[in-house]
Amino acid sequence: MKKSEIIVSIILIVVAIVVIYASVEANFHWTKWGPGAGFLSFYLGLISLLCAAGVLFLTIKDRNKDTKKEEKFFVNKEGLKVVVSISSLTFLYTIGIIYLGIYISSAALCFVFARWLGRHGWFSSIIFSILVPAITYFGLEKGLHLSLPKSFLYIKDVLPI
Amino acid sequence: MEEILKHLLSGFAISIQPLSLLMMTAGLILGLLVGILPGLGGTAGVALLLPITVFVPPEVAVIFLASIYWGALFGGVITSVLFAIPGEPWSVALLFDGYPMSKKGKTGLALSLSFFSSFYGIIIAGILFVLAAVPLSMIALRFGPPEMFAILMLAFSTFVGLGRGSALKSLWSTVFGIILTIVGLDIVTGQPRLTFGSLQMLNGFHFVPVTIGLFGIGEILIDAEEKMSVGSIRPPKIKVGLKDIKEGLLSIKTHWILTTVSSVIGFFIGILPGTGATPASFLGYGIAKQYSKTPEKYGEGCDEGILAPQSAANSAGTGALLPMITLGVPGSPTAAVLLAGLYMWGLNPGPRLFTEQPQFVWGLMSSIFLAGVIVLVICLVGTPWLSKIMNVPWGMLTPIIIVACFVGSYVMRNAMFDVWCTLIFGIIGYVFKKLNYPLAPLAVALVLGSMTERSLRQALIMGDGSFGIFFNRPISAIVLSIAIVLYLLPIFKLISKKLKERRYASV
Repeated sequence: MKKSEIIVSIILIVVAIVVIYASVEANFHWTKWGPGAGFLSFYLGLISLLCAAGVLFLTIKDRNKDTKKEEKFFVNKEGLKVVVSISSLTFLYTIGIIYLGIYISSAALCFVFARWLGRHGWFSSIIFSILVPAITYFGLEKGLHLSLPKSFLYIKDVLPI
Repeated sequence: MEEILKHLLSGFAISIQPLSLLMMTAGLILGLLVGILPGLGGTAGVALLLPITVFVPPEVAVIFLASIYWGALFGGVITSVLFAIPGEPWSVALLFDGYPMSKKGKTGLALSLSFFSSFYGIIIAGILFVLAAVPLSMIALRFGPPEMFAILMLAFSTFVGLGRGSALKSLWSTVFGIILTIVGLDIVTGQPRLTFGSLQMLNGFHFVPVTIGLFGIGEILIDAEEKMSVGSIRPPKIKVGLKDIKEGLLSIKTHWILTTVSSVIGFFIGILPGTGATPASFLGYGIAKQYSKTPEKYGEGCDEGILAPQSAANSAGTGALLPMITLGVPGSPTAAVLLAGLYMWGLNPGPRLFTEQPQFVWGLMSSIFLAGVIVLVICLVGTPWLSKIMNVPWGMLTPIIIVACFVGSYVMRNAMFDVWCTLIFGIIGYVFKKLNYPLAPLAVALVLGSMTERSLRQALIMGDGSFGIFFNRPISAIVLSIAIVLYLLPIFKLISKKLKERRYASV
């Protein structure tokens, strides 16, 4: 866990430096309208830099203590697999929403989840992957008139989704 | 007092309208389900359903969202008592005595005690809420930008000074939350800030997609990893019988002083933003055990071990809404989402709400009592059916939650940028949770960030650029001094710990 703590602290230090740099560019001085646009973010950037550096310092300082008891970032290999699978699927789902619309990509997500991760049968997985987008369509698009991202089939006037 | 009663009655006139009752019941059931499901918390639940509230008037919308919150407070009880799985963090204290009682075969009684004490906590908090709201809003009416900034600093400082875990991480979360609200176009100078040339970032980060990501997607990843797959659990056949209800009521009657004291303590803890329902429940349990004549009974399924934490948790949950309504400062992440809703509906939270939108404020306050009664009835009657949600396999429940999260974040502004935000903040939420970076200050800062910047700027303009303005005015000076003490509290604690260690070493 300490290694990941160090990595995250370093990332947060970089983020803080970027915030400070962008705030300086946006002007953090006093202007005729009062504090400049980057005034607050500049000081917040400084505070976050100090906090992240403090966490990094404390982690490195305590590095040699309790090394035997040190927890790992992921619970186990299986846990890592599940997290990576879900994160990748969710990433692909987001890409899918852009190109295929929310309904087709939701159907695909539900099917992959049910069949692959949930180990459900083909039939129940297919029914489930049809039901979720159908309920979303009739509930939100038709019922509440909310507009959701559509697929190329909608643009070409083939399907209403 | 008469005036308050009159207003409260007018509030009841709104909350007993058919639409309000319908939305309240729907919200309570949704909240109960959210509380039962380990993969979705009350904050994410309220954030997810925020977009659909634009279809009803604000006074009904707030009742709906608050009901989800109260439902979630009750929902965590069922899984804690039945399976030793706390659906919500504030139900953890229930594992100490609720689950052991259930294991002894007294599941019905454990549930009945939990439900009645939750109800008791909500009602006591409701009474305190109504009594404190008007005086507090009267004081708040005198607030100018320096006082408002001081109050906001106090709200943030409680996370650092009173929160559990690393103070540095709490401070970082708070600061990061405010930085996120700064991204976009500066409304005073019209200048883009922290946008790095991106057109999409000109509109800034919206609160809802970020919250859904942090609390929704992040939680899914945590749960999946810990293999808390709800599909593997088969709930036993349980129901709360008449005998359990009678015994539960009798126990409340016997321990009414303990339950009342826990509720009152819980309420005041709930008002503080850095605390909330979870520490209130632990404190309620701790105090009850400490002052008990039979502390050895605790942990083995005693009535008091259920009554104290449950009443404190629910009272704190209700108390968290008081600063949101009267000062515009939320006491918990869920209250922060409700506050975001208020902004979305075009309302201005704070003391003026009492004069400008009395139907809204009093409708919400009356709904505390009504929702308390309805959720109690639903729980007592519907527990066997509600617990069946645990039967839904993980492989089907997770994609449903993911789709709901992404749809919920997209419909806020019809922007794919928000969908990406949900995904990225989901992963950030997962990593932060793993490394014990608290998410509650981040969520609260996300809602209050703009107000913090606005009040700081206005105050500095009033004081001609001098920070002295904060210490020249009595209220802001006192409040800001308390905030500074709270910010420095972790350093004081560290110094006193080191001194103690040195003293022991020398002995």
